[in-house]
Amino acid sequence: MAADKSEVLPGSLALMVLRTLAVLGPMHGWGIARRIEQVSEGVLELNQGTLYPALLRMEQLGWISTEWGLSENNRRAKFYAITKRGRKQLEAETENWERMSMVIGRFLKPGKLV
Amino acid sequence: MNVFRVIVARVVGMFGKGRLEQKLEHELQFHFEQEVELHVSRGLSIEDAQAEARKRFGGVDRAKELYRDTCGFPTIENFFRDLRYALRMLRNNPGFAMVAILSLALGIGINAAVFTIVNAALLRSLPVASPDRLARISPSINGRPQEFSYLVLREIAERQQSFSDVAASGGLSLRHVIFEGRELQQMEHLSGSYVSTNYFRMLGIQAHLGRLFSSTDAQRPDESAVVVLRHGFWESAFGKDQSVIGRILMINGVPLTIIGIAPRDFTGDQVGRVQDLWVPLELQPRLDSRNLLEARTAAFFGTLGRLKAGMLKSQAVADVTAIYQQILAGENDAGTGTRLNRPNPASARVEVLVGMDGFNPTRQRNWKPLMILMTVVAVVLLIACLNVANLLLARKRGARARDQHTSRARVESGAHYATAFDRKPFRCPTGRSCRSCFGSDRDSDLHHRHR
Repeated sequence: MAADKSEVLPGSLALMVLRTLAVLGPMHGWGIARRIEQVSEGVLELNQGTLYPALLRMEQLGWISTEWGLSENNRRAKFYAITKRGRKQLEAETENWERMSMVIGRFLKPGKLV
Repeated sequence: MNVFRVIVARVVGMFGKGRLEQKLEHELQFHFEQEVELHVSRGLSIEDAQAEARKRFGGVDRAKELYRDTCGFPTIENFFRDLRYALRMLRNNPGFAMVAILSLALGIGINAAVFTIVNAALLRSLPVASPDRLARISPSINGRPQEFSYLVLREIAERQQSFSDVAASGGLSLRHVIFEGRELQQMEHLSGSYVSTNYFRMLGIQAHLGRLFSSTDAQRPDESAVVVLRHGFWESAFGKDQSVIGRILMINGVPLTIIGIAPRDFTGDQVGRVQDLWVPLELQPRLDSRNLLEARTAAFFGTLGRLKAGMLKSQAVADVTAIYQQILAGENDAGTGTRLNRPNPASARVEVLVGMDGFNPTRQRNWKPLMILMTVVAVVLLIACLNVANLLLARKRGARARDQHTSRARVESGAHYATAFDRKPFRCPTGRSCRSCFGSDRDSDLHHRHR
């Protein structure tokens, strides 16, 4: 079972979190975890526990802000929202990621590399 | 900018840690319940759902630990935790602690005390501009040290080629020092110096307040008699009153105008011998009953010079010795000798002591005994350290079984795995803190192995 799952690449977790918050608006930690699992369609082996230290780090960097609020089922939960600085970071990271995946893609395409 | 933000966040996190952790607990609890509910709604039993949720989450404690490390400064906090641990262990063994602390305190204390003496007596140099070019010029006849008379000194100063400046200083015997009716000599024992007016210029020091001597102070000694005070003396006798500049200080019955305060750390041209005030030596005949400036036989001036750039000590010695020998020969011929016994000019030499040698008179005399003393106390410290090491060894043998036990207990009661065992290898109550301070390789090795 574990063999067909990929580990989360370093740096990509922050990118996924930022993208999630940018698209769906403020969310709590569990919601973010669910979303990442859903989007990856079970391919990604997300260790949910690692999400929280990552969220704290991103908060320290000023990419996201937090607020306590009520969840869909009326329970107190911590909500994360992307900040202006976070959007800038997302933009930069997206560009960087696309450039990187393009390069890797070129390497892996058979016969095209001269 | 980013680094700054993270540091601020971490500092805040370090202090609000308890609250933050509580919130994290709450957050994780929420996460866990949501996850369990999700799995239940998919048809799992409660137990299975909980197991699944735990599996997906990964290690809860690992996550918390990571979280904690992110929100403070783990290294600093570990250090304080280790320090607390060390103190606790010392408290548990008061006898051992006392012996160890006492022997170390004795060793370190004695070392500090002796080094203070060595520093003052041997190592300090004058607080003047490039003290390594400064030289004391001291004549000797038949190997016996002499001093120049003022007339000889002036002739040498004019004829020599080796020094950019030659200055003189001599002891001033203070009978009365009176400031506006107040006798200062009674308050503290004061000592003063006659100095040539180029003295401060040659040393290369500037006034703290007012001005130091200039050549005009020597030209009309009868009209403008002036004095410069030591900073510490000005502080203790005048309370740092800036208005003393321009006022009159009576010395041996002669009114002198206070023109300036020497810089704070300048106390005279010999390390360890403090002068409180300086007077131009041209005033000597007025302050003393006997005129020493015109007497060929009176020799009480010390001679200082600043070596010209590129001039070697040996060149200076040859230069000044030749002049001195010529002067002595001339005096012998004219019968106006400064010496009653008409010394052979060839037996006269002039020493040039450069740098610390010349200005730290206690240095040469005390060098050997002080070095021996320093060595002895260093050995004492070494013995103290050996003592403590021995004590630790003895304790280790006795406490092996107990330690094994407590280390395991520490892990069971939730201590950081690495740190619980990290403490073990040396079994020194303060060991890890010390190693944290000095960052020994052994320490980081252990961290890697256990993590």
